[in-house]
Amino acid sequence: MSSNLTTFFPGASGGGVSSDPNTLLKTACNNLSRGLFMKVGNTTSYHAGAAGFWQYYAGGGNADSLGSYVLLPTTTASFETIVDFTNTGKGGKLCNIISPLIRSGTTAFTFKITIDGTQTLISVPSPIQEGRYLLGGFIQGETSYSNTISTQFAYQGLAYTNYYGTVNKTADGFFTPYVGANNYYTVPISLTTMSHIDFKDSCKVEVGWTGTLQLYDGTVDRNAGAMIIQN
Amino acid sequence: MTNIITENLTEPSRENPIQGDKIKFTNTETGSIIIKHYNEPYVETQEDIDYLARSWRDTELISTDHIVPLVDHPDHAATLAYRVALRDWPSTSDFPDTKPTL
Repeated sequence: MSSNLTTFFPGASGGGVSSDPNTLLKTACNNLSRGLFMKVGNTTSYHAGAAGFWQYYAGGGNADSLGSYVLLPTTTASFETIVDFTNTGKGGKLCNIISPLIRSGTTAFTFKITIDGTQTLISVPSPIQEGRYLLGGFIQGETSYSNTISTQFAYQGLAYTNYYGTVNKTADGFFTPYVGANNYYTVPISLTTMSHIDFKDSCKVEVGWTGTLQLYDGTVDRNAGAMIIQN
Repeated sequence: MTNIITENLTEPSRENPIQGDKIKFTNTETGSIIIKHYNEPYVETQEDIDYLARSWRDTELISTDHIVPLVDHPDHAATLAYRVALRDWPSTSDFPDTKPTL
């Protein structure tokens, strides 16, 4: 019996990367805004409850910066735009999206992602409280503050030590290993080797919610972000 | 040379954008357009500095945990002293500028 290998290994023209936002990895981080980190130097790391995290996530905030973020209002009657990018004929890659901090005041949350004119809604109708919802590529575990990574990554991440016993999947389809105080994630450097989607012309990322966005660490808890690589 | 045209969609007449303004960047060379929000530059606070210092301290304690039970380790005594210094550090005048050393 013969097999058709092209079914499993798409050719160069296909690229093998989806343009469907539903294929982005869906995860949820720590029960408060401190569950998402970014390492910015040998001995420096910021959590998402600190303004420094968002400054580094957005780079210089100019046209070429990969990351974008917006301080969301407490309530909204529609969708709020994080980033709207058009690069006709050249496209790009949507690498990751970060929700604002979700606490008890938020009763439903939705990502709206429009790729090449096709709109996709990814809804979280019953959000777990005290955490952020993440789409796309993130590293599981907390970054180390030291320049000697070694064992601290796994130790501080705790996701390694709790992963098998407490893995969960919420009713809303978001993968939440160890839903508790130690469910850490880190923004990766190697964006294109992790979960992402391709687009040919345009990409728009919006978020909407019902109820209110409540703060824990400060106003940056209402920040939401998205990272795009321009081709 | 890349030529970027910047427009403030929130308040077109505003020369210097303020927090939250929607900014449109048009690359006249490639034709790409990106619309994102302007955010004020980050200014590091004392709270941030203290947080980062404590985080470094915590990592140093974790990274030396394994030496504590190894009483015949050549650096055992020095490591125990270092860990005491790390624990005391936040309450000293050296915090957060001067880190304890092993």
